[in-house]
Amino acid sequence: MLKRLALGVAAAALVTSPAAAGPKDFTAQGYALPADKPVTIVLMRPDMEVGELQAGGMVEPNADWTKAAREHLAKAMESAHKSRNIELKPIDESQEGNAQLVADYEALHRAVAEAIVTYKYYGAKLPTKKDQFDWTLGPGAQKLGEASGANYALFFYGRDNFASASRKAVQVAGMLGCLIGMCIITSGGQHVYYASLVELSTGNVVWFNVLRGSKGDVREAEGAQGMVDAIMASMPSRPGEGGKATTVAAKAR
Amino acid sequence: MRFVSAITAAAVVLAGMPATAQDAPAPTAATGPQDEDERGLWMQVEDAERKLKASNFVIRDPALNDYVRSVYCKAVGPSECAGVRIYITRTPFFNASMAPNGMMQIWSGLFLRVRDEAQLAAVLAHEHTHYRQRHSLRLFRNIKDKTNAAAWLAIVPFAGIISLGMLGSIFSFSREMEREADSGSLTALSASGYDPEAASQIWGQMLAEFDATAAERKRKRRSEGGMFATHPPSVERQADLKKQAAALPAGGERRRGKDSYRAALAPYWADLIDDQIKLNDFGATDLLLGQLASDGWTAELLFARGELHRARGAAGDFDKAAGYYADAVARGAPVEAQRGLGMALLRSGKSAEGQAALKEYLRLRPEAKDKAMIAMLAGESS
Amino acid sequence: MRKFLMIAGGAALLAAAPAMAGFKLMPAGQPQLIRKSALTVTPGIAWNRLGARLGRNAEAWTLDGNTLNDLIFYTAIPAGQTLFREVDKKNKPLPKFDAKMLAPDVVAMFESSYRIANSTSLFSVDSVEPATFAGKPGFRFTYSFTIQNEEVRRSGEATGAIVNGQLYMITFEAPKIHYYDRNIADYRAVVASAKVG
Repeated sequence: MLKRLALGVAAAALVTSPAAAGPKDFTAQGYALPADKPVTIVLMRPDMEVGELQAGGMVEPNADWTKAAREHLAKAMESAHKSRNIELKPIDESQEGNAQLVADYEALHRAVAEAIVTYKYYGAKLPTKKDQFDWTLGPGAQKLGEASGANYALFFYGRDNFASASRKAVQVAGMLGCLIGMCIITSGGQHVYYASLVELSTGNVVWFNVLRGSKGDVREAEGAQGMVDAIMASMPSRPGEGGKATTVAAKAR
Repeated sequence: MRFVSAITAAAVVLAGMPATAQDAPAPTAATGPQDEDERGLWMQVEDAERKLKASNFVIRDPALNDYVRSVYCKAVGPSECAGVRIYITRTPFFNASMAPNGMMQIWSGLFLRVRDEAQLAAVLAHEHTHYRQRHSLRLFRNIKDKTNAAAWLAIVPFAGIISLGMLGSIFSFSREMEREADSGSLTALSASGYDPEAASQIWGQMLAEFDATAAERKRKRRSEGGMFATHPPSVERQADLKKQAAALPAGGERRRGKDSYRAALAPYWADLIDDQIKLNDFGATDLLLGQLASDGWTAELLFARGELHRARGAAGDFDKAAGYYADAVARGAPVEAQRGLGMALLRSGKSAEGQAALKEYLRLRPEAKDKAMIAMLAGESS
Repeated sequence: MRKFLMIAGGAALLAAAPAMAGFKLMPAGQPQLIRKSALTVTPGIAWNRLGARLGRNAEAWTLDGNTLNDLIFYTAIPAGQTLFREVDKKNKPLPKFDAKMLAPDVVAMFESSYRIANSTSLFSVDSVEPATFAGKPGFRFTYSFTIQNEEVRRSGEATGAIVNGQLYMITFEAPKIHYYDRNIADYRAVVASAKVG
């Protein structure tokens, strides 16, 4: 939970940071999907929660919203992959050892994603990684491939917090404050997503994208599809394909 | 934080189970959550349970789990306990909690702090009452009114860490709830044939432990904050429980189950005590060991006492520790007592004797993890 | 230690980006003086030094981020001091170093400090042996631990010595999966380069 909390903090910081909202992605340098094999993906259980952002800045999870969003996102993911001709492979967690394997790699990926979010997006940069994007889960990730028959794994994380009425009131008050020279800008809702594509033969995170800001209301089918399309737009998805236009981003930043 | 949540949730009173029927029965796995608040709560606890299932911290030992379940089922009745999932986690503080979906969590530190089966039953029945009376939902709604539900996370052990400052006001409601649970409670325990005196005793033991921690650290026991702000003063509560227990009709079975408890827990004492010693809380640990030794100091308890003094390492501690280890060895203590004895003697300047003890340790435990280092300290050439 | 780092990191993130303590490049082959103390090391590969302090006598380096690899230097810790900054001095005081400690006592202090600071009981010492540190007789031990709710199993190795009544120690820890094995040799190279005084 400590780690999860920290990630939450990093994510919260992402949304409150002055940088422009929208997706910002990284692709491992020079990486292209192998041309000689079909792209199959095991979709890890999306870590998705929807809640209401209270005046005090605390988040109240909302089960109905979360449930709706999880369902809509699952469908949106499915159609997004379908349109890219990517086969999604399930992993049978009821099989001996699979649940532990999944739990171990989910835990490791949380640690890796936290490092990426912290050091590539928001926090202090690591000097040794200045022009590099080379995070990995290690080649042992191939075990996920063996368990699922996929050659990639996609991790998905989302925290979508809508502003409550009281939160909106605080926002207004904050802006009024600007008139008298004391100004606290409170952000409205928080919408933070990341998606992470891992090549299972190497364990390398070959593509990572963070999306800040809303691309639609994920509690509804259309909004969820918009969110998924936005975050996955730059994901390399066809054999032989490398990162999209933003590939150079790793250098630019 | 963890400790605060430990004591607040631990709130050791037993509870009158379904005795008070003014509330609808708890939603179970079969009926499911009823409204938006309940659904929110369930979603969180179901996510938490899924994580718990794969957690490295869950003690999956079947014998211990079976024993705890058997005591629970005896206390609340077989139809009540059916469907409840019990997770024992390796956490060295006193806590048990039950989520509205029937997930019960018990921290390993609880086992060092209850003395017999009746006391264990008291804790489990208490938690069961919270569950049946849907207290967590009422608490959740109350918190929602006062702050918002995220604060809820601060008080359920499987969730995160949020500000402590809010707990006081939130728990004044929980205090009412505890009181309410107290009043209708003891009948349940007595109905299952356990001695209802057990409940008040746990309070007494906890109180003594907090005092011991505070005394060793040369502080006053906190008179506000933590459990004392959020629960009725436990002296008063202890007395209440005692009085109510005494007022119950005499006769009937008044089981303590001390021997069965000790026998069931015997394989785990060493690890439980080891976890406790490493908390660097000399006062509480010393008191707990004393309580465990109420029937006499066994070799294992003497060894633990030696470890405790050696870990503190204050003036005179190494001599005392050496004495306890020596007594432990005389009574057939674990092999590690020789190691402790050797280390304690070395630290109190008795090199030759210390090295002899370390050599004896290596002779008895040739595969020891710290073999190479101990061999050097023992003066062995290899 | 991990908990401390994270809280510091989280707080800094909350406070806003520019205020966050940065990292400094520790280039390969260049001797580095740790916290202006008597301890010098020369890394074989480039590391990132965390600007935030872990305590009066400790500093941390990393390669991929502190959740993935933590190289920590404890330098010249005097008697009566804790290994790293107290997390909750009032309610969870950490054990203190004593100049008369023998190697197994240092290991016990380290274990207890980690258990308390990280609120975990899943910590085990896996081996303890004599070793040379900065040319002085010292110790080496290995350990593993997991932090609750984080669930990443980590391995660690520590090497150190008590020199003139003060504790010098370098530790490395990383997830058991991939990360520990990948860089343990780089850690040992840093340890082999250590000089005190």
